[in-house]
Amino acid sequence: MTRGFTLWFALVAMFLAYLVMLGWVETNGFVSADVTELWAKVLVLSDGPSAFRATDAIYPPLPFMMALAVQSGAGGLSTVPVPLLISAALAALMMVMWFNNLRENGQFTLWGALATTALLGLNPFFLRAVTDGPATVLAVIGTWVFARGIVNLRLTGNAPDMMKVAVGLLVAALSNSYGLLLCLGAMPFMIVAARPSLLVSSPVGYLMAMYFPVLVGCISVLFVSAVFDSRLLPLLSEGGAEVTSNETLTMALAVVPVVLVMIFRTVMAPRYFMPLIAAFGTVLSAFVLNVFLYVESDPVIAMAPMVAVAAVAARFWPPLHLREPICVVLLALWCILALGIMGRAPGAETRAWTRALAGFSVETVDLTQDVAAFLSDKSGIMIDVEQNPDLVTDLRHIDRLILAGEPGYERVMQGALPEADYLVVGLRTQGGQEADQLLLRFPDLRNSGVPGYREAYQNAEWRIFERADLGTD
Amino acid sequence: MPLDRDSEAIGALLLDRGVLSPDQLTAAEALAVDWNVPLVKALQARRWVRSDVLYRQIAFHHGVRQVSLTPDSVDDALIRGFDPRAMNDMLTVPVARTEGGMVVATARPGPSTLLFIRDTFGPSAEIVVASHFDISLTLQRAFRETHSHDAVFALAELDPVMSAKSVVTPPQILTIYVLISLFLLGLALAPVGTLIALNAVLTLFYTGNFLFKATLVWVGGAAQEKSSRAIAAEAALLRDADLPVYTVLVPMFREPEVLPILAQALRNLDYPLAKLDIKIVLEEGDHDTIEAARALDLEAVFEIVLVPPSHPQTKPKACNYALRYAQGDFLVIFDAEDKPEPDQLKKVVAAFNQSSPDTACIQCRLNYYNSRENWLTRMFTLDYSLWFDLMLPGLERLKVPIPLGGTSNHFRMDVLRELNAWDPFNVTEDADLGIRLTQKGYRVGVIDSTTFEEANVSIPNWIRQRSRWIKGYMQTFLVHSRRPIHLWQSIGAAGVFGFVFFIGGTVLSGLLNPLVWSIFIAWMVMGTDAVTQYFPAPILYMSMLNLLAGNGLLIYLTMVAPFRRRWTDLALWGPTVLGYWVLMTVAAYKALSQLVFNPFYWEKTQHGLSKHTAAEVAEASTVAEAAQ
Repeated sequence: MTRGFTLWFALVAMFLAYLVMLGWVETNGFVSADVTELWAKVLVLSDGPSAFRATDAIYPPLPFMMALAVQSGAGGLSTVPVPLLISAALAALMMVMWFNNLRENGQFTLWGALATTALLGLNPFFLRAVTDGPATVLAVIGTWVFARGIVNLRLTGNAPDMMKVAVGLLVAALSNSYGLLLCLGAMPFMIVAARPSLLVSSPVGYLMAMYFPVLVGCISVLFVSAVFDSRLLPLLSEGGAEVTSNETLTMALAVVPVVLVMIFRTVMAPRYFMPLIAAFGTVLSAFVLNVFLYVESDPVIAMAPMVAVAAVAARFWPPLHLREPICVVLLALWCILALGIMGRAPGAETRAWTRALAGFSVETVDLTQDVAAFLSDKSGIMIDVEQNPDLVTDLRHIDRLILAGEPGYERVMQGALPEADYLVVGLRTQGGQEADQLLLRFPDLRNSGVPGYREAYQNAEWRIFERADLGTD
Repeated sequence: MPLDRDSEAIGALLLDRGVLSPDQLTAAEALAVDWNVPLVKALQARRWVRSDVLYRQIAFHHGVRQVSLTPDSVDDALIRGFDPRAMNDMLTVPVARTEGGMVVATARPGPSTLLFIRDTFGPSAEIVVASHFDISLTLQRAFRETHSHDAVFALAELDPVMSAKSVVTPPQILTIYVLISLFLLGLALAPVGTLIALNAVLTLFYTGNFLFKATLVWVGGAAQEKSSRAIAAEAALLRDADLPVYTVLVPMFREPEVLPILAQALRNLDYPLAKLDIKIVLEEGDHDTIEAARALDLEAVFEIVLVPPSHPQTKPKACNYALRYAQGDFLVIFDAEDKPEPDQLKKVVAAFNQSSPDTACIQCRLNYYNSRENWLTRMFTLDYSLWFDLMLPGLERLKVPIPLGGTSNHFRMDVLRELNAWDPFNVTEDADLGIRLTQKGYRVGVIDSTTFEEANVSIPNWIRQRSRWIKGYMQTFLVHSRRPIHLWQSIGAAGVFGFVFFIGGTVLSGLLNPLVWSIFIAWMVMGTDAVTQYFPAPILYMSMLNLLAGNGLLIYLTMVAPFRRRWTDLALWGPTVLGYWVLMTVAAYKALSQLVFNPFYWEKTQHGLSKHTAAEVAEASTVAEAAQ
């Protein structure tokens, strides 16, 4: 077998393995909110009416564009949510790149590289990132590219390494709002990691060149958002539940010591140690900043990029006696620690994911599935898809929906009475604020109804109204 | 290698007659041994003995007459009957017929010259000694018309398809005519569809251009590190004794003030001066520079070549003319204000040693010594750093034809002569020669050694210079696209793609930018409705990508460019490159206008405007005066 074939085979095998894991948790009822939201947007944009007018900005753009491309190309052939397909593919790609990097650049033995890569890929933080969707996996990839680049930049000062640093930060920033925090977290550590010769002439010039792609990326997103008149800023923060410092500390304790030990192995070689500590500091700073800024509601997701830092630390570990066994033991220890705390993680999603992974059913999603089942043979359904993405993904067939941008929907938003056969409203609020556009237009739909419609279905999260002059099924 | 007998004898004679002091003789002999050259060559690299005195002693040593070759004493018709290159190589010319044969003058009497004289001029030739300077001047005088004609027309006559003498060929005119007709027909029949199609082509071109440049930087940035170390290591190990003779051409025109700097920069080269064949190439009518050069009383290795007046009056024509008198195995061109890194020639020799046999040229990097003088010099430095430090190594790695930069391109002499050297009708003859070399099956290498030049400090002067470069790129594109199938077969798909984007793209982006900027401004001012019908969704998204990511990328690459030299302070100026692009556009339209109305006009760049140069000129002049 040629090396290329082996790598392709490994890539496909990894992809299938991750798909099995994702399928298992989905079977048990767990699909992350990010995946649901992304898939719903992509379904509506690719399969929905051309007149659809989104009010949300296309953010984060990178996973969005990838999902849109895959959905347009092969989405109709797959029953697996497209974001999960991308997530599995990116995770598999990441594994192959880690392996290749350890073997080729780190001079690891075959078994050492295999074991290290496997433990990185099976790390619960990484697995959780994979189930959270392509945005989080891309943030991990961006961190890895950034961390590799910053070490190489210290070693060589070459343009491609500088571009790696910038591209890594750009990928993180355009993949995930938490990626913006990673960029912010990196700022002081860029100085720590820099080659002294790069700082002599102008530290400001050095920093500006490093951050220019991120700056342009953010300005571009703002510009596109302005051009298409869409909302961007509300998407940057998840506004999740406040996480206590104890919970944060617990989460950090499961990660920080192991990675620090891996990095401190290079302490005698500042050209490795300084950039590695900078990469570590970048992720830790982003994690700490997140405690105050609430950009990412789940601390496990916020800490997931540290897996990428560990991968880079392993690659630059000096080739001394027992390098690989110690590396493997440390990573195994990290997995055990992580498994121990996942069930008690502060993020509700992570707890649900842990239960689903352990084979327990996750109930909350069933309410939406019940609604989807009720609507399975209905058409002419008016719904705010942007606020209720989970129903879109459960329904799959967009052609039965009346969406923003279509005349029927727009007339109602501008004051006319609805003419749709069905009105569907989600009862969940965002931070106590009403978010569903139909509920904002007709507040009575929450408690009573509107003239000409009667309630056809209700559960704790949904209400469905049917036009009164339609015959009951 | 010990001194040869002749050198020992001439040394003893010079000492005996008080021409050299014992210390000077010891030093000269040491140099001759280290450099592996005759003592006379070593002495010519120092200003210890006047030329006429030296040749008088040489003549005495060999027991022959010393003559002074004046126009009246030499039979030019007789000289023209023999091979000029052979006579130039042996520094030997026949000066007159006698009853028994000929009188032959040589500046290099010795066994090999004697054999040459016997074989070429007959066994009964009388040998006399003349100075190197006299021999060279006599050859130039005798072959003035022939070499002047060859300098202008050799390429056009021997390889016309590679010459820019015809700006466009009839098939090219026909192609342009058909394309314009089709466009107008499209506008008449389906205006919106035609404009959308045009828009799509422009969008694809810009996307390709951005991606190609990013790829070049990515590939080029990492390409050279290993080979640079290997070349530097070999260059450090090269022995002076093993180094070949190197011709250095320095074409100048009306630049008397920079001559002292030039002479000092060439003396600073870490290369045996006796193995340098330096030709200061001047126009016959440029009296000020000629006088200044003579007044400097330079070492004998500096030779002045006077180019007869003819059209076009271009640098390549002057170089072609001087090439006829070159004696090196390798040749390099430097501009008058250039400051090559001292070990550059040795690195090039090492690079040729390590390269494949088809390597015909090594391009060194160019950058500026007055980079912080004003905004323009900063931009110019960023531009050159991107071009020479990152993109050219990328082109080399991807095997794309490399357009050579203005100076510091080092050639194998045999290949240069085989290809009829530079095209005097092309105003970027160096770029054209780089492409021609690749088309002819040769390789161009790029190495990590820099020549520092004077960056233009004045915008009008910069526009003149850049318009000439862009016009030259237009000429080069037109010349090498005459036979597209041949081009494809000779340089491959990657080569053609690179040629189109690197040469064509540089020209076209300058010309198209105003159109694209106008559309953007119209969009911003009048709203999307004004342009929507010409931008279907895929083109709109791609245009947005070009606008944001493409321009962002190009600015970023400009910021990355100076990092290799650790000039991080220049990165701050990267975002202002937008202003530089506007200047490029102005230069592009000036170039287009000149291509149509005055294609061979050489837009002269005025040097010496920088305050750095002025300070150095003053310093070098003081040093030269003190030395005299």
